[in-house]
Amino acid sequence: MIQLEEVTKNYSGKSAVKNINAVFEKSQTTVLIGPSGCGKSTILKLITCLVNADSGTIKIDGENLITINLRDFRRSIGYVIQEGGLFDHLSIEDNLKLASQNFYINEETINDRIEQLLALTKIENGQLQKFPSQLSGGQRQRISLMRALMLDPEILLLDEPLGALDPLIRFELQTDLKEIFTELNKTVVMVTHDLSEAVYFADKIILMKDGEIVQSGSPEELLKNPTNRFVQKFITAQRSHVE
Amino acid sequence: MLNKIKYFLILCVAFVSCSKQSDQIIVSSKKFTESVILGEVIKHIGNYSNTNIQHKDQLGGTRVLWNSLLSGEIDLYPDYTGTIIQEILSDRSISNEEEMITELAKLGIKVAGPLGFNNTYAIGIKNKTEKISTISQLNEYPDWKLGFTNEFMDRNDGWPGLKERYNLVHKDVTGLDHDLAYRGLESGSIDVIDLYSTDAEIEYYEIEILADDLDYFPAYNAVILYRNELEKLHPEFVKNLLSLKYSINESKMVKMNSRVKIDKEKEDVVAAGFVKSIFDYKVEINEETMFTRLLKNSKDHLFLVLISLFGAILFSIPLGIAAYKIPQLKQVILNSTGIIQTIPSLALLVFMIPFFGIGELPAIAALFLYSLLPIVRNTFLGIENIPVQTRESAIVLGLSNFTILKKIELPLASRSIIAGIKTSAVINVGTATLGALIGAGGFGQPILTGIRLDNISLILEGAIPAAILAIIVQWFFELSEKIFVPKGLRIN
Repeated sequence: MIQLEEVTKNYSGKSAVKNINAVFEKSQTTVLIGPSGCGKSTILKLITCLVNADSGTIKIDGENLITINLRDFRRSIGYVIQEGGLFDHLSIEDNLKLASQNFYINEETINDRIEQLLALTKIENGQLQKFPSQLSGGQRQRISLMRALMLDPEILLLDEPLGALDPLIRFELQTDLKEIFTELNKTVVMVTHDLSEAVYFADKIILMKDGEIVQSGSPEELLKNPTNRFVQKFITAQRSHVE
Repeated sequence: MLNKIKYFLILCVAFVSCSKQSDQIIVSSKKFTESVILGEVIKHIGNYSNTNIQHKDQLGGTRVLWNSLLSGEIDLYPDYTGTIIQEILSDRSISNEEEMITELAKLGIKVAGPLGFNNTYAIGIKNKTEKISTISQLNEYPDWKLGFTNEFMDRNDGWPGLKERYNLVHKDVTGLDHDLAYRGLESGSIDVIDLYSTDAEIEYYEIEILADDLDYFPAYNAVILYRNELEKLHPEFVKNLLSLKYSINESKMVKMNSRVKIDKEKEDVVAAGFVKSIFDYKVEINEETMFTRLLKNSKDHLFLVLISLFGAILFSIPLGIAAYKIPQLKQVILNSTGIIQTIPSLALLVFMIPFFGIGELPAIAALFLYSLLPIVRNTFLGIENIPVQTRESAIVLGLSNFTILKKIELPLASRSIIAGIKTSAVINVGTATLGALIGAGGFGQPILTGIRLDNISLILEGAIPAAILAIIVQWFFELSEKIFVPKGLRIN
């Protein structure tokens, strides 16, 4: 479980998130949604310690994040970003092995883990010797997910993981991702700006605007009982094209 | 990756294995033909006296040679009494040659000679229509263009004093190379030049010498300056040098100059003829073929380029990394390497002489400094241009800063770093030709001699291999991209 208590972060005087209180439940998928610049990605960066909060506390299973050994903590999180964040100079295999080797995990264990994850993410063994630039966008995201899962982390953080994909591939990957989340039963925090994607994945949705949480709850609650005009407008705007 | 670098370094060190002997006598000469001939004469006498002697010819101007003599970089060189009194010892107000000898002795320098000729400065024109025969009359032609050697422009006994003594009013005065001055005069682009009274060209170009009617120029009796300890270490050699006293009169010297400059004979051949007439010693002339010369110049040039470039690579990459990793150092590092780049290459070479003397060392130091900027900048930019998401992914994977640098940042920046090295290498090959001016040898040597003797084929003998080397170096680094740039970055 990840808890944010009164967390504030400013970038050069401008606040990215203000007094955020949020809970990301264990084994659940929480989706952060909102317009660009609302602070949803900043929350992921705060959890991964890529940036530090100016005030407030972040707790992991009740323990204050700043007291946890950073190296151990990062071993327990997986992070997937929009363009995958794969290292272009390394083969797919080396991309996957980099972190495990860094933590001195033996080669056999690493190879077994790769075998498992290839099946889970539906990647063929032959792709391992290729380089990121030789793969399609969808395949790259699958590899990126594999890499994030290599050390079997407790927490999986995804920042617009499907944002750069074309609609058909996106749909296919959504289905596979949902299956993977269900099977692995991890604490998942996903950032998206797409409401239908949020509704599809989320046990809980947190809707943000201008660095603050506007409403949070299950997808049904959000759709049925929008607490204010912004939520209403956000929902209508996203739905209107479909209906 | 580390192994690859190791092999690469071993290969290059093997390339430049080059050593210097210590008990050698080094004779040197200035950048004009008469000085080179006298240097060759001294060299032959050294050989006759069974010493291990080397002639570092065409080492720039008086200051470079004098300082090198004082510091022991060279052991002896020919100079002129006027130059010594007016220029080298100008702060000691010496009135005659005896005083000069006493003052030099205080500095540990002895004088052999006078050799017997006075090679004074003179002012020459080539203008048959005007009636002018003295320097004073120059003021009747205030629009004439004056082209003087750079050394003459600056010397106490040169243009500043001449202008004052004769109250010359000319405004159009430029500095240029002595050998180019004759061609300028011939073509009419300048009207008045300075020259040496024993120059072979005076007769050849039919130049009129203007009389020094106010007795401005002092006597420039040729002498040989040598370091004190030479007497102890090589007494036979010094004895033979001293026997040169009054052995070369003016017509003899003009003739020797003429044989080299006009008849295109080699300095060492002309010098050998003279030495034979004095000592009855038949000099063995090692007929240097173009191939052996080319081989030596290539070796010298590669030595300069490779050592300085590798030093620069080893130093610049960490510097580029530091500029990125330590924000406070960024401006200091980038600006200081940038400023070095703005210093003209010739000036940088000369700046190095007080620290490193003459020869390869100052040239390598200057080339090293010159090679820093492209590598530092490209290393910095290569790392800086890595997308922030890539870096963040690496951090969240739990990699340490060192691992990120080694496994992510440097490989991703490798193409940019190699491009920087390539730029440095090509600039380095070109700039190294100037090394010849401070005795470092290389492809600049035939270029320098070619300019002095107005010999195009000699100039090309330096210029063409230098250009070819630049192309090879470029090609070599393009090839090395295959080794140092990871495969994943070479796939489109």
